[in-house]
Amino acid sequence: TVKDESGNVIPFATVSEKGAKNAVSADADGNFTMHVKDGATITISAAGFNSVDKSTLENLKEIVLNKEGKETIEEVVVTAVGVRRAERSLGYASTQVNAEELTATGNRSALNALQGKVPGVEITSGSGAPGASTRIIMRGFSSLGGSNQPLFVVDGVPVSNGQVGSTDLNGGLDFGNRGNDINPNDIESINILQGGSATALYGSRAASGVVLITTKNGSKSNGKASVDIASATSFETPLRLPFMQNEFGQGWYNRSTAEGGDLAENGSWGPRFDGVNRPWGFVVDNQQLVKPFSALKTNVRDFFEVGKTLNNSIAIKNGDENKSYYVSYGNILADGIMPTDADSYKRHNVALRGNTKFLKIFNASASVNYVNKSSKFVLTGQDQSVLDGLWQAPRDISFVDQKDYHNKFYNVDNYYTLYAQNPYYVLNEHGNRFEENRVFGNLSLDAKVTPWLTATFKAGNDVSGSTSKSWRAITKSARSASNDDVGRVTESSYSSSEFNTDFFLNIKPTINHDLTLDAIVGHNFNQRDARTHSSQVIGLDIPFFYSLSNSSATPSTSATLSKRRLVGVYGSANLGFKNMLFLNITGRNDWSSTLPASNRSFFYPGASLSFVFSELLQNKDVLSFGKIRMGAARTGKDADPYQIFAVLNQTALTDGYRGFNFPLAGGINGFTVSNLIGNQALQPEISTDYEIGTDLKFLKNRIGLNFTAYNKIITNLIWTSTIPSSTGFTAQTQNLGKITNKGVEIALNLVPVQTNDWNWEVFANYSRNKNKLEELVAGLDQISLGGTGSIGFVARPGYPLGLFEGTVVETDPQGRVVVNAQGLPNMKAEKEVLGSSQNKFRIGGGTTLSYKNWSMRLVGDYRNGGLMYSRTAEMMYFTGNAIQTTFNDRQPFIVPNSVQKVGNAYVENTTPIAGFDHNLNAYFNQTNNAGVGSSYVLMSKTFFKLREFSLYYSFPKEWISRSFIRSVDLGLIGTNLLLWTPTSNPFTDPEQTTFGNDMAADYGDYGAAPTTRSIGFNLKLGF
Amino acid sequence: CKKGFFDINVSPNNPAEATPALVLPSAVAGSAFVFGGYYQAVGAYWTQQYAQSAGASQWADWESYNLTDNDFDRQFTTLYAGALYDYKYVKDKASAASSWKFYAIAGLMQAYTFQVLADLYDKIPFTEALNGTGTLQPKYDDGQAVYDGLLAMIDDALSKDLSSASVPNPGTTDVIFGGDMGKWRQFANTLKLKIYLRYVNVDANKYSTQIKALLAENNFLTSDAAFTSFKAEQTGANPFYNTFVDRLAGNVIANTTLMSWLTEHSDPRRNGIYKASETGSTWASLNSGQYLTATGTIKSFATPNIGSTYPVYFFTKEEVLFLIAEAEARYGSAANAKTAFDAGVKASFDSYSLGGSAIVYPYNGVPSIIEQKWVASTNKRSLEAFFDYNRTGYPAGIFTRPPTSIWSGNDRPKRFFFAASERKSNSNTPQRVDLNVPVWWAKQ
Repeated sequence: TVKDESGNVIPFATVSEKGAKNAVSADADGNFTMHVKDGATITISAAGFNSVDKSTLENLKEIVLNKEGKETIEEVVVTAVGVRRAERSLGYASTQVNAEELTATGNRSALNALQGKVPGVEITSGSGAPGASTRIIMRGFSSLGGSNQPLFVVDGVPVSNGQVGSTDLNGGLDFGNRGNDINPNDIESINILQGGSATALYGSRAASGVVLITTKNGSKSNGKASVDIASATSFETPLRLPFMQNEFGQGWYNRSTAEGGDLAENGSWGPRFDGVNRPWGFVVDNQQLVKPFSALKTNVRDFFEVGKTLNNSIAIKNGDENKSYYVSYGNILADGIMPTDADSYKRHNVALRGNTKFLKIFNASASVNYVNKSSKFVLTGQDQSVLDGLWQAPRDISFVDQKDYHNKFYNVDNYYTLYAQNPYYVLNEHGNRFEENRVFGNLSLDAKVTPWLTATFKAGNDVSGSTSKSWRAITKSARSASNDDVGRVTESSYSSSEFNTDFFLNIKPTINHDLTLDAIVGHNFNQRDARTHSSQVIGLDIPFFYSLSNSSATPSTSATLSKRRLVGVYGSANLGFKNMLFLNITGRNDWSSTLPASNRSFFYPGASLSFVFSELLQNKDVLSFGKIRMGAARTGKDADPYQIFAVLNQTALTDGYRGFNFPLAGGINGFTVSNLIGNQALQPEISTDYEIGTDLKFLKNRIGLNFTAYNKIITNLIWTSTIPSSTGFTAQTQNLGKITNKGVEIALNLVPVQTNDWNWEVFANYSRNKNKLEELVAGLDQISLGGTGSIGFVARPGYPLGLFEGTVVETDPQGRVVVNAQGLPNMKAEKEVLGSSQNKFRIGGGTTLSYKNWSMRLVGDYRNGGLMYSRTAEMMYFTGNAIQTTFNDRQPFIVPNSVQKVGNAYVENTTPIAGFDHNLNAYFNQTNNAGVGSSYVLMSKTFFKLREFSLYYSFPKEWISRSFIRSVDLGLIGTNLLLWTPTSNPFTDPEQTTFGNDMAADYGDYGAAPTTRSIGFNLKLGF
Repeated sequence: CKKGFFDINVSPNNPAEATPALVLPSAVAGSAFVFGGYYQAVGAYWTQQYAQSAGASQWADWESYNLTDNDFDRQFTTLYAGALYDYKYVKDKASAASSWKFYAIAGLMQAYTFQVLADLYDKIPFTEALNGTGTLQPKYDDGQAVYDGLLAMIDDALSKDLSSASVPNPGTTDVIFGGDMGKWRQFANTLKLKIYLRYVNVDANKYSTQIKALLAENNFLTSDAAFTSFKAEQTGANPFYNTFVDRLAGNVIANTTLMSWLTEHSDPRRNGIYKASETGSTWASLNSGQYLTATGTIKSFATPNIGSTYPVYFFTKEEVLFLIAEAEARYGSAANAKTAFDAGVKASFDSYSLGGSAIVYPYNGVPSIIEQKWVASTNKRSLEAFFDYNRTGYPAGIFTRPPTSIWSGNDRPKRFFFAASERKSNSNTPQRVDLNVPVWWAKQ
């Protein structure tokens, strides 16, 4: 076995006989077999190590190579179906992130810990709620209707990245995505595979990339048991709360201070602050509260508490070349920034893994992971929402003073405003609870039938069962009906299962010294089942008792089943020449149950080339390593189940606020023809990928540069598109267009200083993706991707996906603003495109500086361009809390350069918008279709975040060498410490979203919990 | 793989087919949900029966006439992709099985529903509509052509065997008349009369023969045609109550225009039409657009008296009598007109159990008929009052100009914008027409 100084296996070392044209390559485990004459000298070399000459007379059981310099080990990466390959042989870009980088800040989410570190990948965490989902988009959007989330593969077996949540504007939920379930401390490395050449063997589900997770095991322990403990504690505070005006106080249109007048208002359209003591709130029992009429600058910030997250983990492992085990337990206990534990997340992870070799040729391994999650989530959106209560408050109202929502002045009857609910009431009396148990694991059996043939069978299953319960208290106000609620309970359960098997042969015949072949032929079966069941009663009888039985109303129930099957056969051949030129050819055919029988089978090929031209160089002092790679590959993708036949639904009508469900009074049931019309001509979506790139290392690997350019073309896009309702239907799942993603990714690594005591490394990456909807089927000018009634989220040919469409001020032929009889701008009849949601480019980077036992690390993330909708911004304008609403001191003003239309002529407008008047509010408030058009609630998505900071101290070995302790590391850690946004966005963190974790999330934010900054400490112990 | 291994794509969650008896109630409910919800509400705002309350602004745009093509888009979609297609489904299935009673009911209700849309939008997809992917971009037909089609649709329904021998009998799955086909004949005659009277401004004599024949036959509805299958619970209540009274509480109050009219005439129906305020002056109301300067909340105003199980009316008894009165006034005898007019007023009082104290209002021809029809339509048929105003100009000189109106003169809305979803997905959607432009049959 070839090993390094620390005893780690060096895979794929080159072994050659001196003075002869005889060479072999060691395998991934560092083993090699070679036929030479006795006494011959062999040279063992591996990139990044000083080569060694050995005589065959020596003991060759263990060969130790010394490192040439740091960071120079020949990278071995995990590729499709879990096969390890030397990075040099790959014709595509692949980024690997190691354990240390994932756990440095104690992040509960390994995915969030990737932010800023991987070129070409956009990683976004949608809110500051504990356990919030993480969205990963690789090389732009490649699907309209299907998922744009990558396939998650753990140790070669796909696992679920399902999300339980709701994007309802009247109460959204996000109980997190399962990709975040994996204990980061269990992860050895994460590989990001983006291009089709890299992912082709994973088949149709990998069309949006693959996150390959390799977990830790005990095989490198050399028979010494070890225990690792990590314990991180961090404290969270809101990262961005809107900047607000502090000049004007409670009121609306400056009406009156009579009851029901300004003092009952939920906004700051009232008089200028004067600091004079005044009564506020309602008269209760002939008493009224008094406070100074002045701004409370931190009233919103004071409402939030310091969130806490504990992340603990213990792992025990042992093993050698023949057998190993790994056992770990981890937990996350988080309570977010909202007061109370209404926002909390608890997770327990247990992992058990082991392997054994037997009967010489077999290796069996097994892995079982158990995850238990329980969380509570503060609803997003409008309608009895906590954040609405916060944003809709005058600048002079204190929340913390009203914490006692039973107090007669602050209770439901007498809360100061008629138009919002006391947020403490909402937090304490309405609620929800989510619980999930998940088991995933796999079994794998390898048989090394001959030295050149390995047969592998892997079976994996990922089963989860979840329940959620949500409730609203019976709420009755003596004063205002707008916040009344008859009470409700909803109970839901979800179960999902994903079963996957792979059988493949890995063929590595020894052809000759110059020519190597590494081929795979395999078969894949995948079945996914899901079941949901939900029941609800609205209108409770016994207050504060939450059971489905507690209502005289007809419960509404629904249950759905979903099943899909996919079978694939695949093959790949990697042909290497002189360890310098590699050609890789892949092909896969899938059969999917979700497509019409005639289009069920689809084949897609790919090819890539890698040329390590530095092998031709004599002197590698300047250019130590150089490789050019290129690839082209195609991937097909199926549809969601049940899209091809028309059906009927039990009738449920809605006007957007309330519904009307069958059965009718008198027990009459009803069915309506589904609005989704079938499509029996549906075809798979086809993604064709071209990429070219280079990997260069200079000055003995002190400088590394990777460059990739790609063009990804997706045709036959599957999308449930809107069809005119006058057809009798509103939607059809169709193949309707073509998307392209063209982009570049650059990664740079520098080691400016490297001495015995000092080590300084710098990394940076740049990504740019130009996404475009190239075409739509005839008759469609655009498609709707979601959004809200006032601002649409659409796609139009010739533009990037995710366009905002909203109202625009009408102008006359000279470009002057046309106003109506009220002096308010008219809006054009047609909505117009206001911009795209997509970033122009992203830059991530960081640095690690270490001196003796100290090491410090910083990671930053900059994103440029794109727009987002912000409900926070909209609410700030609506309530007059936005600084912008103090324009002209709220005195009457004529819209600059405005005209009125008289007949067919435009005459100069002389009607001012009155100050302190409805029209001033209307000017800034888009719900009245007035003012400046929709664009004012669209924020730039440009931002810079200081993602990570950590400062670690490792206790010197001499201090602990006499104890049983192996290592002690103590760290100060922080994530998202700083956020910078352009001055045009004083309102929100551009990462916030309440629209799930796919394309629709780009629309923006409808009242998510503010994102957080966290600071804490981490203790790592090794025994 | 064995056969069927991949054939698992038939949804286990939804039926592939259903009988007319299961789809007809759904279709009728779809019409009732829209007509009794948003359409009732906007009709009442635009005929100044309701007003926006102080301290809220949800429907302020309706009063300022500042709409976009997103307003009422959902209702358009609910009607086409819901009710109208379901009627077609019932007709297709019923026709194949010779279930002619189902066929006729679906045909009559489909005609009724199409007419409301044609009156709101002027032009609607009709001849090419409801054809699924067969016609992905249905053309818009002129209102007059739609009307021709509606009359044919009614005649087609009536031409089928609706006798007692014809089975099956819809029974309770006919949620309007319980399968009483005699009443459906009356419904058809009443609907025809309503359609014919739309022509008074464009071609008054076009259907005079048919009108006279209908009056002679005198087989109109003598009772309400209403959807009453509501439950006093949140997912089964009257749509106006559910959304406008309960969910968006605080917005809809009495309009001073109608309130003053009722008070001036000491009309006791006031106490049935409106609910007294909870605080302050009992019958307090606001004019359209007055919410801006007024103080108070919904509790300080009178509100529409619509509860959770209030019916949704397709025709009311009094409306039918006013229709007959107008037809008699224009095409028959003034004496008959006055008789029907008086009976109409009486029926309206009866509907509030005030038959004993019914006022005998002076009769002066069409203006008095439409004015009384407007009062009687409150809470029940407000959208019809909106159409009547646009058609006849009555009640005259009574509507106020909302101070928030985006129009400088006394312009009033006369139609809806073509629905946004259609504009985006159907290239045959006509160019936008301003809201103050009359529809084809309206008084210019």
